[in-house]
Amino acid sequence: MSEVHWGLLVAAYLFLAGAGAGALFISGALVLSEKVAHAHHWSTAKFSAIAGLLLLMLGTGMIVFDLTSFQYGIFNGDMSKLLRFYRLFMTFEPSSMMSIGTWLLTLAIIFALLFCFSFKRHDQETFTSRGYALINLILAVCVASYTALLIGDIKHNIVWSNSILVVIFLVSAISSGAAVVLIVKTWLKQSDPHHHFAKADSMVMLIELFVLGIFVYVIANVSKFYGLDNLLGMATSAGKIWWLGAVVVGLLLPLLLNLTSIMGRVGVSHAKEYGIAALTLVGAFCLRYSVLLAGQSY
Amino acid sequence: MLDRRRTLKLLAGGAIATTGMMFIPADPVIADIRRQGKKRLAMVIDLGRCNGCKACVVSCGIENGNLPDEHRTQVPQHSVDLNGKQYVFNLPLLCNNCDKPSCVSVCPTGATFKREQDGIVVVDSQLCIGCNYCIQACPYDGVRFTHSATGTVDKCNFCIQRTSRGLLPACVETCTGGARVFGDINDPESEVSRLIRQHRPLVLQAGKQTSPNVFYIGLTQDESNRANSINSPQTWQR
Repeated sequence: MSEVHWGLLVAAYLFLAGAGAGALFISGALVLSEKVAHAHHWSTAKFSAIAGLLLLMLGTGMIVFDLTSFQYGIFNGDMSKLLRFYRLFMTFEPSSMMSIGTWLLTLAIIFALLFCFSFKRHDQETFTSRGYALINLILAVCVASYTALLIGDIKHNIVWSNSILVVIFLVSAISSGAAVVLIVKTWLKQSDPHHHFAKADSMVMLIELFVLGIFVYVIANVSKFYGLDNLLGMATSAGKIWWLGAVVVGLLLPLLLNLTSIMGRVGVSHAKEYGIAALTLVGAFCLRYSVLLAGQSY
Repeated sequence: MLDRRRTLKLLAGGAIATTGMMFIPADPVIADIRRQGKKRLAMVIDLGRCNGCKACVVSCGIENGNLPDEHRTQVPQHSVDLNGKQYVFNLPLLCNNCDKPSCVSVCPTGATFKREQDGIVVVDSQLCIGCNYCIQACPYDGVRFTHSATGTVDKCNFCIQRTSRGLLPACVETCTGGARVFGDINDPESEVSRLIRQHRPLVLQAGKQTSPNVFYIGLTQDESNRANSINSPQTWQR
């Protein structure tokens, strides 16, 4: 393939949907684990759910901005083209992963909204909140998996139709969701003296590094089989974004920063926490962008 | 005279009707097109007759209103290595209007569909939202593109506006070498059926399992397996 039809906006769509789903997953898990009995966990769960909802909505906006009919409508002042995106939300085509995903995202946004409203009750033990938390947890897993299945449905694409991509995007969604939660915690001025959060975050990053390693190995082999240069090699633009953005900036640096705090048994400054979260989010975006580019570069 | 009650009734009726209209799925809109006939239109391209004049590219652009850089069909030159010598041949490319098209199932709005009456794969530009999912799903690079004048996806549909009236596609009509032959593959008396019986032509990338309806006479197995692109740089322009 020579033309890049899916670029930054689709990468942003996959990233924001993943990060939003991750934040909602962690928020739902906090409610279900009854940790919300503690006030600081309650606040974290509440604001993480709100952040997750906003990210899902922003992500859905990105796929609308990427539609060529929408762009045509903007640049030519054609309202019928501008508003045609509604067909995406009004038509259900069960054979199309994009159609399934759009409905899934719409459902996830509706239930995330209900979940956020349930926090207004201030009744931490109510069944309603736990019910919504469970639904959000399930929908978050579905949305995060969908972001990989959307491109995985392109069966002839040797990069995208790789089943481990679902695991990668799922783990990356939890990792970037954790980064959103870390921003929320830091914003709420909550400290992590025993490094519980940093330890859990590091564990997710290690799992992500492991699955990324498998993916790199598979892509190197597949590229060789088809007589292509390594699609994730440093010689390609996708490879540069993958290795520098997703692996070094998004995983190794935050992992190093987390580990130095855990091993040194020192408190983590808020600036450092913001830094770790920002690096993780940049990495999660680069991961999706590089996978999109690699799939369109041969 | 409209009293308040009647006005409210009309407004409510209008709101219900509008909501109902918005929820109409794509299927009924195209059902009437799909209902009739069972032809399977196909094209046979004899590479030995293609002289690379590109009359097909020009006539296609004029017939279908495509811009100069956006082509439903193109004739890139491809080089082959034969007994240590380089040769160049013309390979006309267009949408294969496949029997099992990978673009149809992925379309989220039902804008891309396969006509039951003749097997042509069509993009309804009134329904297409331009998500480019079909472009990604198609294994034949470049045969689908975004039409700059509509902002929606466009591709070869065997000049449906002509073939529906019994005319030939513009590219077939203007082919100076008579390389492009078009007709019903299910009619044993048609020219395409005769050529297919006689030459056993190959299709492009048969391994992708899409059952294309564009057949090539004079293509080797190795050449047919290559991922040729409509956007390949022209050999003469390199």
